[in-house]
Amino acid sequence: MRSLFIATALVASTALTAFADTTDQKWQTKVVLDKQGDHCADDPNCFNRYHPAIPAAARANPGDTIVLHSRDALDSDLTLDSVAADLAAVDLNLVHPMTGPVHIEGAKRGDVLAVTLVDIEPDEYGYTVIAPGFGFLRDIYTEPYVVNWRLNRLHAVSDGMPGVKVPYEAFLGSVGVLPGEEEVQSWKAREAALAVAGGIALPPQPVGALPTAVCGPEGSHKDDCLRTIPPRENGGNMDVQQMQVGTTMLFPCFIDGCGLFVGDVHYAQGDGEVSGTAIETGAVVTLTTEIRPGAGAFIKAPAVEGGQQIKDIEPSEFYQTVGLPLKDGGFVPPYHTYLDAAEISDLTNLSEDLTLAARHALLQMIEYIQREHGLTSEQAYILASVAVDLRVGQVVDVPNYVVTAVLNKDVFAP
Amino acid sequence: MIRRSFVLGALAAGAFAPAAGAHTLYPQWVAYRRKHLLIGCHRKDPETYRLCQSLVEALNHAMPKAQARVARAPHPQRLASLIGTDQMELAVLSAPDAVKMAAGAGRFAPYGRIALTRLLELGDHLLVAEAGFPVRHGWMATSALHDSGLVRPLTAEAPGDLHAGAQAFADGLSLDDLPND
Repeated sequence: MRSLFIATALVASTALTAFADTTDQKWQTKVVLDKQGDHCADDPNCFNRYHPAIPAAARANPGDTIVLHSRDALDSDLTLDSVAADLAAVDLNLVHPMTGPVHIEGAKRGDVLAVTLVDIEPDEYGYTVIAPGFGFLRDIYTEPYVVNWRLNRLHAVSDGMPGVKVPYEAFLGSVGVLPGEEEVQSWKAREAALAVAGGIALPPQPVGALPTAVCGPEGSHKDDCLRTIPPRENGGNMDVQQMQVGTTMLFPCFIDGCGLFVGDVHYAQGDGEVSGTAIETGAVVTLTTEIRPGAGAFIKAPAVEGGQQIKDIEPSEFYQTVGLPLKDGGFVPPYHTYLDAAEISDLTNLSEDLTLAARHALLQMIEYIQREHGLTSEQAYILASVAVDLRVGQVVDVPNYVVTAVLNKDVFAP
Repeated sequence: MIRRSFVLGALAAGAFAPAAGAHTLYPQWVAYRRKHLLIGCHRKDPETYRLCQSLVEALNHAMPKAQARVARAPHPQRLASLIGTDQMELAVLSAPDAVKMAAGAGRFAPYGRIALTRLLELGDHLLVAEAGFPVRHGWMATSALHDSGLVRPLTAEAPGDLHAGAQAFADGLSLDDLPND
């Protein structure tokens, strides 16, 4: 009798719970791509080059909830106790691991894919590094350096950055759609021409390329798989922090199904990402899509629709330096070496030069952070990468265009 | 000794220069890897990291212009990838790992056979060099490290050949006896 009573009570309780709980009520159609294995090479849902022959990892209808588990930009093994020596052994052929591609049913070449970012759930660990030879001040910061961050949905903190809390303002460092064959050939040609002229443009590199069957050393399109480093008209590695949760990103669609991908999540980043990295992390990314038929006729490159998000990431307190296109005589900035460097070497003032103005603003900001907040030069450079925005002041007051550097002083709040 | 010190002191920065550029992401990485003598180790075998640090310290004491640095990989397979694609030339490995990496066996199978040579014996570990590591550089590194107190006879099987520079040093040849690489 006693056991019958207990059983009856249990059934009643269960039934009551089921009716009172909203968890079981579902309306979304979810398409989920999980991570499999430790690295992109182990994962059929991951790739690190762009080509239209890369097969879809999933198919989704417009309006579906797409959940993509993404990896960090370096496809790394970095951890909370990583040191600079670990960075020296990173295999740079593995950047950037992308999750997808997702074929969007009904989308055609010539359409625009509208991608709304619903959520980013970051991993608990992120890193910001100085990589030798990379970054805006690569001529000054030539040694590896790493800051390991502990992350939650409020802020990032690090033993390597005392007194600093960086607010959670996550976005997709890389997001986009696959190029068509026509785009692959056109973009490859223009980048090859730039490389011949001395610019930094990398040709396809089959070593480490994924998927192996398409892009690897014996792959079907090994000489045509585009590297993920430069952003292009298909999106990719844009690193635009205004693409926050709630915004809608627009991409011209170059292949049927578009081939949507995401990766390289940035927990936080300043405009400029000056050290070469933001707070890099893996994440679970949630998106929805909409097709805008024929809109590719006038949207030729990515665009963003947003609202309050652009205000939400503004600092409540800031310090700003003003940069002018000034330099020392005899110095040729690294960005200008492929141009007619001899012409500008002896000048101390360049004309209408935003890049040099940005450098001037950033150098002043790094000096300010060191002086006023007691960080080292490397820490200040890293902090600038994640919490300083480079902004164009004006492009008319010849010869001195202005770029400013704006430090979000909220990072020093207790 | 005076002669050797003179030779080592005369080394210019950049004397140790990995050959590759094609596999690096950015051209500037080549500059970094030309600037420093990188010695690889990995986290799966903490002893490789300790030995790497000791070797780097000894090298930088005897040969400061080498600007040696530790490069710690997450696992030995990464070292195989870096050495096999000319991104790294020296590494500290356990003897069994060195044998398997050279043969492209076991977990190193995806990277194929790698032409590894022995530069220094460190007890149950080895400092290995990719076979293309210049003979003169091998001689200089061996010369700089042989009095460091780190060298101990090998206690296990090791991959095939001694590096030509290490062999030349063992044979009593001077740097002047060696051809320019």
